[in-house]
Amino acid sequence: MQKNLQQNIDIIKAKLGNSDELICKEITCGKTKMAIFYILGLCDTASLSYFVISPIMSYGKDITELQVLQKQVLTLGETTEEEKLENIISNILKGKGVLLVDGIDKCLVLAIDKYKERAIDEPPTSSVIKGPRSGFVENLKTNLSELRKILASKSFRTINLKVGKHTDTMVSIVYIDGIADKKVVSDVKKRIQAINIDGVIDSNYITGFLEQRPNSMFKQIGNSEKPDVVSARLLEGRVAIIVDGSPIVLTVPFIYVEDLQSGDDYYSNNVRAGFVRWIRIFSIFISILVPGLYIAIVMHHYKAIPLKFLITIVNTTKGLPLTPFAEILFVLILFEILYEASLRMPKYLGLALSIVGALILGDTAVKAGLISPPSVMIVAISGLTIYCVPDQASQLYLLRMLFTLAGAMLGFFGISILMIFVMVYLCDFDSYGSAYFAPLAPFVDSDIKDAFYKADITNVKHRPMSIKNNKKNLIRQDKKDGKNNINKSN
Amino acid sequence: MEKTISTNQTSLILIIFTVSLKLSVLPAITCDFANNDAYIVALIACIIDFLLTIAIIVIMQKIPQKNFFELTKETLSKPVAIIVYIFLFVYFFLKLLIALLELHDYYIVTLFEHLNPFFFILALGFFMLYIFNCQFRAIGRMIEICFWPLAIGIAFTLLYPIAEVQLVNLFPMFENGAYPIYNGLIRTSFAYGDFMILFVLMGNIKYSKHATKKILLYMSTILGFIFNFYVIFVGTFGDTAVNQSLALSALPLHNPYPTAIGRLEWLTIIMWTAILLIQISILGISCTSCLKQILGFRDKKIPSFVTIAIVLALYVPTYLKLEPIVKFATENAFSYTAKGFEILCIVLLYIEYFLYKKKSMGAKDFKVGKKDVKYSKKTI
Repeated sequence: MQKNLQQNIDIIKAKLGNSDELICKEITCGKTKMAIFYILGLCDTASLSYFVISPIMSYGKDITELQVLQKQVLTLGETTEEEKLENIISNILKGKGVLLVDGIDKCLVLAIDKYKERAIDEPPTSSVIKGPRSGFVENLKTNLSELRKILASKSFRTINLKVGKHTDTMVSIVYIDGIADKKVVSDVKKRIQAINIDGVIDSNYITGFLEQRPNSMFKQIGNSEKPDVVSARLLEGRVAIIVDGSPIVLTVPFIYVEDLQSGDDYYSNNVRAGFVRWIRIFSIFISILVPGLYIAIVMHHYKAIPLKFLITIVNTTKGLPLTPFAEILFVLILFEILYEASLRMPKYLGLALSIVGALILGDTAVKAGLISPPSVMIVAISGLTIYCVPDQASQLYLLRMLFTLAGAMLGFFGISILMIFVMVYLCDFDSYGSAYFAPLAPFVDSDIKDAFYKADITNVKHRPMSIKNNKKNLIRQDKKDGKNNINKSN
Repeated sequence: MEKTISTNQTSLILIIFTVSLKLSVLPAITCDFANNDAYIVALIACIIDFLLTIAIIVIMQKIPQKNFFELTKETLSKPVAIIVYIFLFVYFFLKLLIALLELHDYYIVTLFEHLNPFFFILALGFFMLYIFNCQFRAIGRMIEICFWPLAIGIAFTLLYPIAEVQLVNLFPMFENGAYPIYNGLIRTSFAYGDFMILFVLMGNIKYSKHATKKILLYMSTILGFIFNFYVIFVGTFGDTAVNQSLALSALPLHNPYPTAIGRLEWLTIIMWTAILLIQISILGISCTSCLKQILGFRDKKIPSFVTIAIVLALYVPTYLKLEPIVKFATENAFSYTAKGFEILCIVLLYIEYFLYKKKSMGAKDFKVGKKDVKYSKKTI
């Protein structure tokens, strides 16, 4: 930065290409010339007038130091001094105002940025029947405030980093000091600092950089759109990564059991929650195995099913032009096309799509003798069960295809060999020092109570040992508190 | 560097390793040598295995940080360590080959009329290519997940025919004297000796408190299960047991509930396939680990390629021929050699331990014994 105001104005205008949205408001205070740069539409002009321009113009004395402005003139809450041109440009682009003063080679950054943002509402992917309904939005500050509202802890920590050459996106690493493992925090920080990318539009852009096996089809980073879920994960010792512009907050370490747990489980009856978790586990197996098992039985092991059932299958598949494998593959691909179309199609066409999908493609294809009713039923069951664990849907789709292929080629043997392969592959995974299948493998008995059933909260006295957290601070309920004390008071 | 496995995982690896080659082809082979006294052969072999397991575990816990290769290299010499590991490689490799052939035969008999050999070898090839590069930790964790479903599946095999057991088939004991039992014991000895896997696991185990008790408890349970299996097998089939070449697929068909035949034994078949595949994985990783030490490689990529190449080179020509390999493995000379090698390894371990202890006595900061073992609260 130069001391000459006009030179500084010229430099900034040249850097930003003198665009129409870039406003340079020149004012004077006493005899001192000043200029305020901001981008129209990204900042709150009312605040600028009320808290910046008006106090300066009414002050009337010359300004020789920025501190005078900060302490005696401006009534704006957040102002910071800045001298590096790059940071000044970056702040203007982020919606902040920049106040340049003639004769001073520094400037003041004014926090007058204000974006129009979406209202906080319930995220469409993780709605609950009972429990908090608020979700994250696209603004990092709002998201942080939502977390702070729940976790009003003095140990709440954030590390802010900027990522993306052209987007300069703010990324916040959030954790609770004393509960999160410091190695995990530093590992996440290192990985984010090492990101060298043009731009970060959404949190998914940095997922690949945080994953330890980026080429794997399996999910390795947890995510959520709900502040209550992320807060609970932070309390367990995880680290959250919030990306400005994304309503999806990432969490690490990630273990598979996380996707079997739903926010609803913690706000409903424990027995019901435990039952539903088992339904989810069975759903995973049904969704990936049923088409493969059907193909294996029909093509290789027809002796494995009762005769009556076999006769029904033979009668319904008699005279079909396709082999059982081609038939299932056809229905699976058809299902995928319908799913993809239903996502992209305008809502008013939804009904039409249901008619086309269910009636024309399904019913008519069966009646025309192109596909058999068992295949449609098998794919429908499999498709339905995938959505019992929506966070795993993308990988379950691929696994279902692989198991179908294995069943067609080698029957039960193919399915067994693929199952062992997938399990060994996943057991080899570690997410930031936590085993992927913990607390089942390695078996951590104390964590089972919140994994495969849902114990009463009074019995969950420790933070999970399955994830890498601060092992010295595992107690979440002191002995004198909790259930025993409640019983005594009764 | 190998990642450590927990005591629980060690025990489960040992269980799967122990059970896998005993329940399929071996019962009929044992009956061939010992007739109806096959279950006594199984009992004696299990007791011997149990005692030898204790002998190894005791020493292993005293030097938890050393693997067998390092220990041999430090106390005897590198050439001796390489020679021992070459024999270990051959030992595990032969078991691997038998397991692979057994898997194939088991599948042909129980499930397929026609098995596409191209797909079978292709699938196995890809499977081995990945698994042999893995570490025991991944297998240990996987067994932790699969163990109970597998155990329940296999328990069905015992529960089904239990009502069909005729005690008269088990008696009189020693009908033809002690020789058939001795002969059976020697001829089938290669199928036992599962404690040998501990030599490969050595140095990579994180011992929890009461590790010895835990491992031995698991071991005794599984050996008890094997003995019971033989009792039920001989009790069910009597003199015709020798003709039941695949015991595990024959037993479920002898149950008192005819409506269940053709239904639930499929569960056992799938479970048994999984067990054999896990056994193949354990043996493959053992072979790769041995080869890695012999050739002095840092990672397992080349050793695993070499192992798979040898497996396929031998496996493809011997495809569908389990019999000649089993015949070779039950030859007197081979059986004595195999058992001799097992005992030699244990003796070597003891000698090496005492040499190591003696050598280290001079070092000021060295302590050997239970106090030296750092118990892990949890191995995650």
